Parts: sequence; structure tokens; C-alpha cells
Amino acid sequence: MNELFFSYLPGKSILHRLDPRTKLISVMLLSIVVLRASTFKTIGLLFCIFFTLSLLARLGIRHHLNSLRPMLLFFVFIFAVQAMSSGGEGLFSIGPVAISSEGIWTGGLVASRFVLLVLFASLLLSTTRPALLTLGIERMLRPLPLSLLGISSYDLAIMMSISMRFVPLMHGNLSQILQAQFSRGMDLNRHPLRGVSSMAVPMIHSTMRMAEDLAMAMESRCYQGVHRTSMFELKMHKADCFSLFIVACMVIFFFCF
Amino acid sequence: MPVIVDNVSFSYARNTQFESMVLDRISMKVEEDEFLVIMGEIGSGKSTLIKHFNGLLKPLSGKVTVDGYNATSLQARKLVGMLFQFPQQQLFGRTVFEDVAFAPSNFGVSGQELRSKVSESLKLVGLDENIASKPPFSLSNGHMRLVALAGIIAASPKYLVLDEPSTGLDPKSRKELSKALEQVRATGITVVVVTHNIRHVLPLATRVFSMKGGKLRFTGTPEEYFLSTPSQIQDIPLLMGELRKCGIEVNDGIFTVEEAFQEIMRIKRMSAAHE
Amino acid sequence: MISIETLSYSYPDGTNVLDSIDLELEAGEFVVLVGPNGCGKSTLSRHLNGLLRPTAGSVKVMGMDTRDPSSLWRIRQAVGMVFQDPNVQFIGSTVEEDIAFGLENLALPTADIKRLVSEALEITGMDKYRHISPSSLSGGQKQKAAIAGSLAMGSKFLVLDEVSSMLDSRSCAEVLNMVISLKNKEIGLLYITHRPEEILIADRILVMDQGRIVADGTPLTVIRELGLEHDLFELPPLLKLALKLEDVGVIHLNGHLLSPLTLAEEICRSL
Repeated sequence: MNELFFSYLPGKSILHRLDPRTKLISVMLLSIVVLRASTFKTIGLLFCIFFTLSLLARLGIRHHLNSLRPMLLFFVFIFAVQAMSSGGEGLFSIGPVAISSEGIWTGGLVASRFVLLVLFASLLLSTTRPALLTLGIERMLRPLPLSLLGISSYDLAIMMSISMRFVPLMHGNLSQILQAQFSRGMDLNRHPLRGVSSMAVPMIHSTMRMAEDLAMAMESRCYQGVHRTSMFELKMHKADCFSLFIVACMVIFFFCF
Repeated sequence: MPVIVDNVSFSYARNTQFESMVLDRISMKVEEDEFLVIMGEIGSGKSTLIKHFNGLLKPLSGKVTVDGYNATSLQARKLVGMLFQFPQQQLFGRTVFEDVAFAPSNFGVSGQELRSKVSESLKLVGLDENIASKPPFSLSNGHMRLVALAGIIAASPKYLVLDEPSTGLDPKSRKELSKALEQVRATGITVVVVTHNIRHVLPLATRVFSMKGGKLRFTGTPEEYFLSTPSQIQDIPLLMGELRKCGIEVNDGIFTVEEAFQEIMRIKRMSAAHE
Repeated sequence: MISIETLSYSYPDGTNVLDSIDLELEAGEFVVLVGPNGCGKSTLSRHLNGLLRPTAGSVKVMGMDTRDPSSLWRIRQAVGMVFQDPNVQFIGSTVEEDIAFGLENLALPTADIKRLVSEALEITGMDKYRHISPSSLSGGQKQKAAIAGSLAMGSKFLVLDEVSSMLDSRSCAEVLNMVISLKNKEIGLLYITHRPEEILIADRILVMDQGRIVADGTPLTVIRELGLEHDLFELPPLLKLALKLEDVGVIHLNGHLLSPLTLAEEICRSL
């Protein structure tokens, strides 16, 4: 089900072996570039970078393209909104809405920015074990004064891994509830509001129960949100320094030209 | 006309790490006015099979009809009531009344008719009528299940399908549930129970359909089922089989402790009278 | 090992759940706890590792009081807990990561964590599932992985709260066999269940009703003491029949476990 998108695919490529922090920082830097990209030349270059990286990851482009599928509607929406609201000289019109060539241009640009963000995220998630990813995030957050907010970097990291675990579980739960309500004659087309409440109430109840059980299981296993160690060790190697250097160079290049 | 499952195959989306259990060209019938028990271990396909009865799942190949209607049609869904394993996933009303009234009002029942329908259903499953004003989630596990059952009965189904209804119930709630099912049967509703523990529904069962790996393994009377299945569970029918092997003529159709006790006492008396 | 003295517990709203319970649980003892839904079984079990703390009375694990916050983590290390729903007690995205979770919380060095995880996987026979996501395991394997998580932390006592109630008979047997093997490792067990077949395996059974322990002893003595007509727990049918026959003097039970064959022989002899 959900496991197809954004799931970790084990492998031995250079991208798999990099330190999660290297990958996180690189994705963050690249995202800044993506969001600032204002010409299709830049976008094209970034797509080239993505293709090179996905070749390095040796997972096949198809997997990453699959990650785009659930967001397809969103991309179309973004494109449409931009295309319709950018003003400029009308190229043609659909009903009262005029579509300009500027509109199509900005729409395309904004939509491809989001496509790129999703693709880079997919690259990160498919080459990084979830445990290492959260560990990396935890390490990067550690210097921040989170204790002022009453949480620890450990809490944040655990929250991340739990949400990754629970999304499929809640998805399964929701589909069971849907089936139960369909069996009782629920008709979403006729009574949409009633249908929503008949799903929401059991969903909230069972999610609360799950959360309660999970909290108890965690407490039983001595979780206290303070210092913990990890089964995995993080170590920056030469390859990491080298990769970060290359990414930094790329970013500077994009900013200057 | 019965529920007819004709050569049905099914598999969950194959290329996921999750389930991939399959129905493999299953053909079967649920006859009118029977109490059918579908047995099998988790992963045998029994839950997948029953979800075809009211069109929750659509067969990859083959066909399921309910009284001649395609199982995915609204008419068929109205005929088949289904109770799932966790009542918590079914209940949502602010009060028991609201919850039990959900299905019949979806099917267009209202006013006085709805009220009497609800109280009738609560009575049938053995719940006190003043429970109707309570919030369903405040009830015990066993009672929640009975409320969910009442909610399904209230829609006046012709077939009632229950998935593992006794999971997590203590002996007392289990007895209450059996009693409710007996009452349901008495109104002429055909009952199908999916379970991996036949003992809980034994006295009511008229036929057993047992599955393994998505295929039919056995179908026949409960008694034939026990004779065909070497079970590690210490069961009365097995004991009866052993007694027969010892040359003692015990009657057929003995499943419960009480029946077995009476039978052994009868034989004891007879042999005493002989001597 | 665990000693409970006049333990009472009530919810904040005043409902009394546990009523003055006295209990000693020994190391290496296999104790089955039965009783109707809502009688306080789970509440009692959650006192054993300090998830709940007594309103009155005390619970001591190896001499440490569960009300003392400074020993709470050592208590939880000693008393492991496995819950009913196998799906919601996993944190890791692979079996190995999940077993490591507790050890990471104890802030052990990486090398030790790896060693202890491997050991626990081996003891529970879950080695081949090491890198698999817990969600793709069968119900029985999930519970075994959860048990492995406790064992890795060095639990001396395991509380299994209706671990078999969502499993089919084959998975049940799988889990039960593993649990029985733990007994030989001097690990104490409190096993909560509704399944009649699982009652007879215990060294000792505790019967609870309305917040009190109403019977405590070896399975046969407890069953004889309570008689056959009650709703506290369900008896295996064969045992029930045998006891009924014994009552009227048809057969005589001499304490060992029953199979259909041995009971049939016993009955034949008397007829």
C-alpha cells in the first residue's frame, strides 16, 4: 500500500553509504536552490543533477517517478492556479478565466519546482534507512536549545520514526472502518456529512487507543526522552566531506549565475 | 435463493510487502436458513471470502451473487449484514440508540418505525432497553459487540455474517453472544460465522466450511468435521471417537460437556442393568 | 522476586479497581492469571513494572519499590511487558531496530547493543527475520519479536497480557512453546489469558474477580476449589467432563494432564 512510495530500498550504492547528515544537508541546500530557480535553464540543470544522482543510487528512475503519483493532483492544481492568476496578455480563455502565456510559464515553473522537491526527497528516503535518518536528524538537532520548549532532540527523532510506522497502520485501520460503515449502508454520496462523522469517531477512538498502547509499550521499555544511544554509529567519511564540498560548489554556482 | 460464490479468485495488490493472501477458485453456497461456520487459521482466506458476500471486495475472477443480485449491488448489501471483529471500528453514535438507528435510517426507515426497530433489535440481542441512552464507548467490550450486532439486525438483513465475534471476550460475554445468535437464528436469519475456534458456536452450527491457503479444505456437518480433523485441542468429539474405538457404542451428535456426561451416564446405567 | 502487599488502586474518579491484594511471585515461576473482563487483571499487571502505582499498599520488585522514581528504570528493565495487540507495540522499522529500542533507552554503547540484540534474536529463534519490517510478520512472530525486545534488556520477569487473544491456534502454540522454554531460563512469567487450554500449563493459577484474588494455587486444586459452575474462567471441556464424572464416582483423576485417549481409557475401565 503506502510502502511503495517513499520507502527505503536497501542497496550498496555510494548514496546508500553516505552519512545521513550529509544527505540531509545536501537535500536542504538543493531545496533552497530549487525554490529560488527562476528560469527553465536552472530547472533543467537541476533535473540533470537529479538524474545523475538517481543513476548513482542504482534504484531505477521508476521508483522515484512512482513517488510523484500520489501528488499528481496537487501538481496539476498548483499549475492551474498559477496559470489562471498570473495576469498578462490572454492567450486563450476557458469561460471567464483568461490563460496567458506568462501564466503557463509561471505555472510550469512552480509546478516543476515542487516536482523536483519531491524527487529529491524520494532520493533521500529511498537510500537512507529510516533509523539512520532519524538518528541523523536527532544529531543535527542536538545543539539546538530544544529543552527550552520542553522537548528533547530524542523526542523529535522518535516522533518522526513513530509517524513513519503509524501512517500505514492508520491507513489500514481507516480502510477497515470504511468497510464496516459501508456494510451498514453508509452512502457517502447521499449523506456526505454523516458519512464523515461515522468514520471520524471510530477513527479517533482507535487512534487514541493505539497511541495509549504505544505509549505504554514505550514506557515499559524504559523510554524517558533523555540521553539514549543508538545501535548504529554515525561517522563522517572522506566521501561525505567530498560530497558536501561538491554540493556546496553547486549551490555557489547556482547563486552566482 | 442463496448466496452463491462461483469460482472466485482474489489477491491483494501483489507487489507490496503486506498481505498477499489469495482466494483460489473458491466455489460455495450459503443456503437459506442455515448456520454456517467458516473455519481456518489467520491467512487462510476466510475473512477475504466473506468480504465478497456484500461486495466489500470484488473478485478478480468469478462471480458472487446474493439472491440473484450481484454482490456489489445495493440490493445485495441490504440483504447481507456484516459484523466485524472490533466493534470499536463500527460504533460512532453519541448514544446507543443513534448507533443502532444508523443502518435502518440509511435504508430509509424513520420516526416511530425506527424507534420500535431499535428497541426490538436491542431486545433481540439481550440488551436492556435503558442502555439506549448511554454512549456506546462507555460499555464493556462484550456489550459493545452486542450493540454493534443490534445495529446490524436493525437493518433487517436476511443473512448475518460475523467475523471472529468472540475475540477477546470472557466466558460470560461469550455466552451472552451465543444466546444473542440463537435468538437471531430463531427469527429466521441465516447466520455465517467466521472463526478459528469452532467450540464457541458449536451447539448452533449446522454446517462447517473449512479453508486452508485460500482453498476449500473441508465442508460438511460439524460432526464430520471433527472426524476429518485430527485436532490437538482436547475436545469432546475426539473423546467420543476414542470411546467408539474402545468398543463403546456412543450416540452421534455429541458435542458439549453436558451431552457427553449424560451419554456416558446412560451407557453406565445400561451396562449396570445388564449385569 | 515480586512482592505485593495490600495493594489497592482506584481511578482518579474514585472507582475501585484493585482491592487490597497480597501476592508473591517467584523467579522461574509460570503463573497464569484469569478472570472475567474488567476484573482488574490488566490493572494488576501494570503495577508490576510501575506503569501504574498503587493508591495504597506497595509493589516491590527485587526489593525496589515501584513508587520510588529513582528505581523505576531498573524495575522496568527487570520486568518486561508484552501487550495484546501485536501491531501497536513496535517502534523500530525492522525487527532488529525494534529490539534495540529498549537498549538504546538504557544508553548502552553501540557494540553492546548489537551483541544483546543478536543474543535475543537467537534465543527467540527470530534470527532470520532480523531485517524484516515487523508489520510483515505473522501475529505469532510479532509477539515473539516483542518478547525478544524484553529479553534483550535482561528481563527477569515477563508479563504477557492476553498476548494470544488476537492469534489463531497455530500462532498461539508457537508463542506458548517459546514462553514455556523461557521457564527453563529462570524467567518468571505472569500470563494473562482467556484460552482454556492455556490454563493447565501453568505451575500456579491466580483467579481474579472484582479487584480481588479469589483463588490461588495449582491448576487442579484451584479448579476443584471453585467447582464447575462459575463464570470466572472457562475450563477445557475435557477436564470439565472428567471432573463431572469424578464427582459422581465414575472415574478417578490422578492429577496429570488429560488427552482424549487417556480419558477414554479411564472411562472404558469403569464401564
